[in-house]
Amino acid sequence: MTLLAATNLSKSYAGVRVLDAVDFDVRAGEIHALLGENGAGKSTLIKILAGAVVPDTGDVVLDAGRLPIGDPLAVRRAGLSVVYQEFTLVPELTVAENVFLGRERAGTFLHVLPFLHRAEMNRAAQAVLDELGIHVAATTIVRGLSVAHQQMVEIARALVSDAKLLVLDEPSATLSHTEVDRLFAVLRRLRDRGLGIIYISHRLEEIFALADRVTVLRDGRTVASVPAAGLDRAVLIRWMVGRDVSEEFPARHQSPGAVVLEARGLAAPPRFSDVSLTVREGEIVGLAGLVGAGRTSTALALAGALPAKGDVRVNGRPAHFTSPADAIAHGVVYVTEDRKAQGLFPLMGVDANITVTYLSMFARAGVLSLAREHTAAAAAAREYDVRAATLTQPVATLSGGNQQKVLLARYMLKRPTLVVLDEPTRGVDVGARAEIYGLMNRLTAEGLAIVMISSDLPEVLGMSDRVIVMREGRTTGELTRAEATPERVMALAMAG
Amino acid sequence: MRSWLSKNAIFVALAVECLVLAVATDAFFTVDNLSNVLRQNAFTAILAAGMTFVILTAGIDLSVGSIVGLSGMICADVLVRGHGLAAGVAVGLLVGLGVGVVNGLVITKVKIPPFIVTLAMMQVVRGAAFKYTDARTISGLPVSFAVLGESLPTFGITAAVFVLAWLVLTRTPFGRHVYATGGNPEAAWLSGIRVKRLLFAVYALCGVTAGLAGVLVASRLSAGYPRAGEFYELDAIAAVVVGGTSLFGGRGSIWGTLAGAFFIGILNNGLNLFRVSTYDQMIVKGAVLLAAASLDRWRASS
Repeated sequence: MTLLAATNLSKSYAGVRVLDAVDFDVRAGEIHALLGENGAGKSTLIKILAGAVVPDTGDVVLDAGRLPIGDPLAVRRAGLSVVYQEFTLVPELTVAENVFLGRERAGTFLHVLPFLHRAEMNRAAQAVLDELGIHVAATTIVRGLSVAHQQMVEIARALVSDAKLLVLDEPSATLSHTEVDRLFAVLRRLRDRGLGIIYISHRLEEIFALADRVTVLRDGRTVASVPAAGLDRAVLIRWMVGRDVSEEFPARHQSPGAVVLEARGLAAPPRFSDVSLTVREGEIVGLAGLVGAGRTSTALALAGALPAKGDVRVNGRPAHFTSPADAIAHGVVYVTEDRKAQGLFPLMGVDANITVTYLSMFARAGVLSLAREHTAAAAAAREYDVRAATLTQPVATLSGGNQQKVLLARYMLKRPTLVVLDEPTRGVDVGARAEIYGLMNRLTAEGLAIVMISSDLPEVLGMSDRVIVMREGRTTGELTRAEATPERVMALAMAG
Repeated sequence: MRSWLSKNAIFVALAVECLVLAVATDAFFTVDNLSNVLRQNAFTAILAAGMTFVILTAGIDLSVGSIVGLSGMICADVLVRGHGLAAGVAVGLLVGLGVGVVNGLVITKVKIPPFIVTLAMMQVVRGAAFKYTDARTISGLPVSFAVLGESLPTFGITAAVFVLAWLVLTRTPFGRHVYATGGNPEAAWLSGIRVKRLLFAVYALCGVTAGLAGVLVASRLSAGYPRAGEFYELDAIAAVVVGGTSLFGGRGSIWGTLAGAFFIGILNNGLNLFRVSTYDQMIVKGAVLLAAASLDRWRASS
């Protein structure tokens, strides 16, 4: 039974067609994967369904009723709920209060004074949580919950509002392996109850593990909409990128040199308490672990962005950086996992985003040479293959992959000695991903040392010369490239 | 076209305003009137130049009007004591710098929002200006000092301030970092900008421009007057916002601020020429400010 049918959806922004006469349908009791490179039109399609964007043409029917266009609240009431990558929970409220936010169950006292059925909402929220199989009390304050649990609260919220169709936008991006498994179990159960689910992800293995049907978008058009069973991986990738991309990781030629970074007993409680690692010239050291193991905090501490105790040496000299500026001056840079919030200057062009860190290189007696700056930015954009119409194009309009390349270009402008890459391919499409791996190989061949944090296990195994695993704020083990198997990494990453 | 218009709205508005007044009145487009308008609004413009830096970092400085009062008082006092022109001007600027430094220190070290810090300093500094002479006006300033506040020197100083501000904002790493910090403070910090040092400098600099305006106002009045500069902070903020600088930080230009200051000044002048009552003028000016802020909101979301 068709649950949702969207027909002839088109949308243009400033003359650019981002969605071109797309038809899309989801059946009840189906997990429907939506695939496509960044810029393929996935998010625009989702925003139209959610009522956040008004299409130029087209109609959407949900459960035989026309879906209100451009009215998010009405869409939600009609039974379509979206769980975005950025959660919409209120951190200071309890789980139950969040679950019932905006649709509180209330009564009146003496027919006049309104009051909330607090106990009843707690009970109802708890019932939904139990049904989802997660062990969280409905009275817990949301702030303290893990990302995975917050996501479940979002899903619970959709369920109490009688959602018929659930949209999940890259739900696994911030989850660990086991958390993803748990999410999948929940989604399968919801599907079996007759819900329709639209699932967006960049991870192909998840699509094969989960989806019943797959729709691939490319350049705003539907390339294919087919059952997932029996699909060939290579075909899927070709549909997405329109060309053959070897998804394999490029071969690494290891030739580690002198020790660049040596950290012993690094600690910044409560985020992490005992981290030791060594990184050599020309080496990629993968930092693996579950989300919350303290990897990003460790990276921030190395880059001077988080005060920490312990013994850190860079090129043999003690290094206790008091700010990112300090660390950068000593050749240690951190490339964030959160480009939008912590990396990019959305109002500035590609050029200014590239030159911002080492801007004083282009100044004489305090005065900038815009010409020299422009030349350097252009050269860097070329070297790192940033695809932008012009260098002054606002960086926010670039795809995820190109934004990531802008960040790399920024920090490579003056060659550092150590780079910490935090989730270097998060939100990056398949094609750009391969290019970023290529860049990492080239940079290490030139002697750069890289610490790579990644929650994508194939990426950790495919790119690292050594893997260091963290668990609950401690380094629990180190594996060479040959030793590192998914099983061994996960064994070190998980408690018990 | 739409984006050009949204970026240059203030210049178009200023041109239209001048055109309308030139056509509709005989009095507007005369050397005397224009020179008057320029001189009357030069002080606001100078304050707004410093305020542009502050607002570009998504901050605010409510203390500038009070700085005008205090720096004018102390400058006048130094002058009547016979220490000479250079000393008077220097002390006036130093008073502004001093208040700016305090603003910057409290904002970056104690981490109190700029609105509250500068609101408090607005009171403290105005109080100090009154206390300095027990609210008496300081008169009897040397005639040579009054020259500064005449039309040509004032225009020259205003022009110099704006050219300098433009150079700093567009041709120095510091200026670029002001935009970067306003646009995304966390990214700015992580990408190696010393954000605290920068914010400190921005408030110090805004204090100096306010000190300069204080000296010029004292020269114009030929007196140290403790109420001088009252509500100037509001005019300066209005000029910056009308000039298209975003209150959310990271977006705006110094020429927009100059145009914004004169747009408001000429609006006042025009309303006077049309004999619109003071009360109606206030309503019109408030409406213009709201319209400009709405435009900013619209720009931020498009």
